[in-house]
Amino acid sequence: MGEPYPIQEMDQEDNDGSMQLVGFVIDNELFGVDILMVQEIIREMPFTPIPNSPDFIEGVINLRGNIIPVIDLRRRLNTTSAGTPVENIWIIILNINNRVAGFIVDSVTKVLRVATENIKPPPDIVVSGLQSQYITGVCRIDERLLILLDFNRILLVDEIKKLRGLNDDTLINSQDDPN
Amino acid sequence: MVDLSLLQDFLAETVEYLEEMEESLLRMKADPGNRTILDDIFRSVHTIKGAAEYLGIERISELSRTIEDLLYHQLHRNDIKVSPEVIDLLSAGRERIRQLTENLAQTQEEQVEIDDLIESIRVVDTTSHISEEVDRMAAEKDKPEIAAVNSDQTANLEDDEDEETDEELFTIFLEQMEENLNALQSQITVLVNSDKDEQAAALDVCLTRIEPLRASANYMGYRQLTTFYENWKERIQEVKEEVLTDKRGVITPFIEECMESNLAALISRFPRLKISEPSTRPISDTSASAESEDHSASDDFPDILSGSPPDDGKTKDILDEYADPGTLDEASDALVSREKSAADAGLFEQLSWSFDSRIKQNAAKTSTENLTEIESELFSDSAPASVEPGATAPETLIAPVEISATHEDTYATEDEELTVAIKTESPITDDFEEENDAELFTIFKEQLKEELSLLQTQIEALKKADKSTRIELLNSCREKIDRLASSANYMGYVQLNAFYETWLTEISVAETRLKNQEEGFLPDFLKECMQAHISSILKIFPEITLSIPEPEVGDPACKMEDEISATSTDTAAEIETAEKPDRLNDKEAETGDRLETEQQLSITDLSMLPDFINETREHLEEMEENLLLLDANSGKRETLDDVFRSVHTIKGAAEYLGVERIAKLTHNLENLLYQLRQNKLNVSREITALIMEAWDRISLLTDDLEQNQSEQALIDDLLERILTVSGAEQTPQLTAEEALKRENTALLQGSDRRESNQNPRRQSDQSGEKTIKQSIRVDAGKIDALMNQVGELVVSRAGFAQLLNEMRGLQLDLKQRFKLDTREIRHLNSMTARLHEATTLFDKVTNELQEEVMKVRMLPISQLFNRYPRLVFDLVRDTGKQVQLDIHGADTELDKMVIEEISDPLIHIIRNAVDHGIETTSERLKKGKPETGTIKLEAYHEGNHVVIEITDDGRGLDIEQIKEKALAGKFVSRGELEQMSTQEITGLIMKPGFSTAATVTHISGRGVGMDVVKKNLEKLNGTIEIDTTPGIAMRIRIKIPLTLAIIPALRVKVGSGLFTIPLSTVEETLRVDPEQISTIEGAKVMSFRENTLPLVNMSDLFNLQEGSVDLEHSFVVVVSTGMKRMGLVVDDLLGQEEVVIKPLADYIQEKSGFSGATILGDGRISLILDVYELINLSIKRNLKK
Repeated sequence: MGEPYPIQEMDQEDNDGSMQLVGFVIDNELFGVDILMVQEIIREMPFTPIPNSPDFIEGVINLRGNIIPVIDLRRRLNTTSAGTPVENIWIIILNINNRVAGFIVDSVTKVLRVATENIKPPPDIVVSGLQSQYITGVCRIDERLLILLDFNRILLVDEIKKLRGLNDDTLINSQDDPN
Repeated sequence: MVDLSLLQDFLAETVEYLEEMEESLLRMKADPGNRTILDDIFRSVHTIKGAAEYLGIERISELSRTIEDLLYHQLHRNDIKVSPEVIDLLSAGRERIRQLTENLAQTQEEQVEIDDLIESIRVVDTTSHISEEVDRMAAEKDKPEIAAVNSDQTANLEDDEDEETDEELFTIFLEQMEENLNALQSQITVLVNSDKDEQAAALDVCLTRIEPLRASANYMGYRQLTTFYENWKERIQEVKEEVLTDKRGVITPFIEECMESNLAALISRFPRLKISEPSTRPISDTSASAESEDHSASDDFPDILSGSPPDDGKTKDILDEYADPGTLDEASDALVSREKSAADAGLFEQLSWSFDSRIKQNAAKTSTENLTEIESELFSDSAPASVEPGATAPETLIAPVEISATHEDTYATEDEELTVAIKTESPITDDFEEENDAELFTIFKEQLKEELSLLQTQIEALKKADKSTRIELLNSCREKIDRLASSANYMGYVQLNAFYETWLTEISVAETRLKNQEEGFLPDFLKECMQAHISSILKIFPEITLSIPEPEVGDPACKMEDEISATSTDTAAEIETAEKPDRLNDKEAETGDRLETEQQLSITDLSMLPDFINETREHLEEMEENLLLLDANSGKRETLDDVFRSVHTIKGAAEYLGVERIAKLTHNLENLLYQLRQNKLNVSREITALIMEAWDRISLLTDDLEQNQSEQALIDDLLERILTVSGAEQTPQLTAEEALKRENTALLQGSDRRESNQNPRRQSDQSGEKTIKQSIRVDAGKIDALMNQVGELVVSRAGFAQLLNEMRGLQLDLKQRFKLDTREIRHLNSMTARLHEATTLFDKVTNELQEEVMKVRMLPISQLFNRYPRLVFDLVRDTGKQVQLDIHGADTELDKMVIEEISDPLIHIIRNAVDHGIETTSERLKKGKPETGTIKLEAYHEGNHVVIEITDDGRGLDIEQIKEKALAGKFVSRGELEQMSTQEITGLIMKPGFSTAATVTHISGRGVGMDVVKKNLEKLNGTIEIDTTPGIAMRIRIKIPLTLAIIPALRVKVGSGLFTIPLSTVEETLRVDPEQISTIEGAKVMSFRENTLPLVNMSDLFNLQEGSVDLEHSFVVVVSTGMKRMGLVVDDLLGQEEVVIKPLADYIQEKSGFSGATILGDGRISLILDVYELINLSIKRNLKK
């Protein structure tokens, strides 16, 4: 597993005051997700694209007989560098309220332990090009800013539908030529 | 609600339909002239309505019915365009239904109001279309005048969960009734004072007045009321004839016995419906005291009045008594003193606090004044009274009562408080209510109650509050009193209004003092002013409703009668009650009951409640089964006994726990059943229906108990009906007791009553004749999770097999490369062998496990079939039909998912069979068929499919009629029709909007049903066939795959993508012949068996750039959903295969044109096409172009 950042281990600190995060990196930006949501982390595997799906849905994968959608976080969050893929990507499989989905990330850190009190609410301004609505909080780890993402929001059905609607329209409008 | 599990299904479904509807609405906004969209919306609404009606979810069904009406009219308008106004309304309606669904999901109760919306929909509906429902029109006309009242009204009725129909209709109904009853009342007056011809004419008027009443009662579905009106009409008719044939003595007793008592019965019945609202705490004690007063007063009452109408002498006695001036004084003295003692002593103290002691004198003065006047009038009219004693005596006896009320009001010299206070003990009290109509008065009282209880709480708060909040609280008190004042003003209670004004001033003063930092006065102020005022009002009002006339009798000024014609309705009520002490007692008992229930909401032991609820549900379940049986075998003794036992057991437990209403209801039910058992009554459809209603109510109460530990559903209306049916002459208490004794004579001995109540339950538990099916309810999600785990197991099994292979390889390798002999690798050999053994066993177990888990998902179809007997029962109840439902093969198992999906279609089919198929009994007899129609519901396996057949021996389909309708509705052209086979023609009934019914009933007739059936079945990859022998029978055959999990499918290749098409939708595959392809309006079509087949290039549809444009090497897969057919152009056909459907994440799957995905042998994923959606998608695209 990639380990580009040294981790501040808070040895055996009481569970109450801290949470464990899995950190991951997209475009040199450090993100985190609650470890309890992480089902597994896999290497890249072949996607089957879904026609007419929103562009951030990379496709579906066959994970031991289960078909799981894979979402390109770069595109979903409209980060500044949307659409610049990295080789050797990882897929974090998350269980978000019993909906399992995979998210493409550049690399994954070790488990991080963060004191909950150190997690601050998201700043109103846009952090590294992503809208603050998708951020639950930020915290400092080793002079770096870790962004906690709100995956519930990211996977919000209504929002996805809306995006699909837009997508659908543009798609239809662009299709002037029959056949 | 019927069943929580059903509710869940319903909610999930409704949400789905609502989503569909939303989408359609959006499309409609863009394209208001498109009928298919309207059809889609109609379909969604219709399905929601059907399910909601079936489950008894009132508001949703009412709202959806209204929307459906609107849509129906829109569909049948010439102007194809749907106005934006209508679209807005539809959106609003959709949103409201969604809110209701949310309410249901959260609290199992519908909370959002719908009346405003329904009204606006109706307004739009009627303005845009001439409504064919005349009564609804009439209702609309009445509306504007009373709009203000109306809104109040509905607000009040809202709480009344009990209401049989929706509040809106009910209000209209009441208004109409009121109007007609008033008219009737005035006719009675005419009758009394007129000669023969006039009397006949008046009776005619009465008839014409009663007819609309009957019609509206019928419309509301109040069957008893309808019969009541019918009887009344008959009676009037008879009397009219008698009058015309010069029978003189007829008219007067008729007026008393029939007209007035009927009126009174109606009046007493309807106001009560609303008065029975659960009262708030502070009121309940006053009403309790009022109740006790009611008892005592009613004791006097018959003495005074009962004998009087026929007994001239007695009337005279009374008159004489009052003629004596001394007695008069005495009477007035007695009045005052009685007032003091009987009314809460506090009342007068409080009154005097607010108004000084003058009141007492005034009270005496007023009543004396009244009495004197009454006396003089009495004398002047006593002559005619004796001439026609039978007729006028009752009138004259009571009428003064109102007169004096009016007097008091018109004199208006005294404070209203005072007048009212006098009324509390004077006979006039009821009239206070009647001066305005009962309707308004009830509203007024409701508001009063509400505001007062709020005030009460605020006073409590005031006691504790600190300075700043005090002023706020006072302000809000003032607001409330202000509201009360305005409503009193509206009602025309001048003095009451003045009283409120005084109160307001007092509060203002208090406020100023508070602002001036004065503190000490507050407790006194609260106690003396606020509390006192509240309690004085409280005292006044309950008593007004409940107190009973005293012998303050005099003759009325007949001249004033017109002014008070409304009032005199009550007279009739009083006469009636006087004449029928039984009835009065009944009513009284009920009033008592009600009060009791309100007060004793405390249930003895909450810890035992869950057990009680469970047990009750069990018994209810048993009871329902038996009830249906009872209906079928028309009151077989054993079944009756079973029902009786269930009811009795529930009653016992309910009484033991102090669950008042259930106990009361079951008690009365028990009496009814007892009479059935004693053959004093016969088991009729009405009675079974009534018992079923009681059943519904008990389960409603049980739900209440579960959710908030208290009973909320009201039972009074039902109790009354049960009492009416079981007959008042029975002494219920005794019969029940008797029954009890007979049931368990042995058990009763030496045990107290409570034990005896519980014994039968034990008995029935032990003697469980039916073997209880051992089953547990499991969350479907858990089973799915189990499935997934088994899937994982299958994967690891493959891993083991791989391991074994590698081991063998190693073995071989060692042998060959290292030349080790068998002995040397003996160890390894034996290990391989053992591994092989273990793997084989593992294999076997895994396979079995997989199979078993698959089976868990399979459920017997009885789950579904069991719901239908009740459905049929309910459907038949309103029609003159007899229908028997035969169920076969209920233990046929199929996937739970499938069962859920076919529930709706089956309901539609059965509804159709009952409504359109089976003829009425008389019609059947004429045709020489057995009286009872039979609907056969049969399920069986056929290969990998389950077949469900619904056969009815009704009139079948009329092919000619279908042809006509099809032509009329422009579904097909005449030429097309001629070429169609019978099968194809019957298939037409599944077209959206196609209906053969001549009239639209609330059950069916709008042509949505079969369309829904077909659509749902297509989703399941099922097929439907219709066979019919016109006039004799009809059979619908549904064939559905055993499970949704595995389907045979065609695999195709488009570009680099692999797709799977369910074989059930594939008609055939063709190689493309470019010569056959032409372009029409930019869309490619292909001629296909003399038809044009629209072609869709899959690579275009799915935006696959690499898809070949080379048509010559492509294939066409002809897919169809029955109605629509389409050719999919694909690059290659890869073959046919059974595939396992895996769901896609919802946000990917929805409206994407894919119904799921499957995993191919090599681990790759292939998406499964949802042909239905795909066709829609391509149509949408073409529309957008």
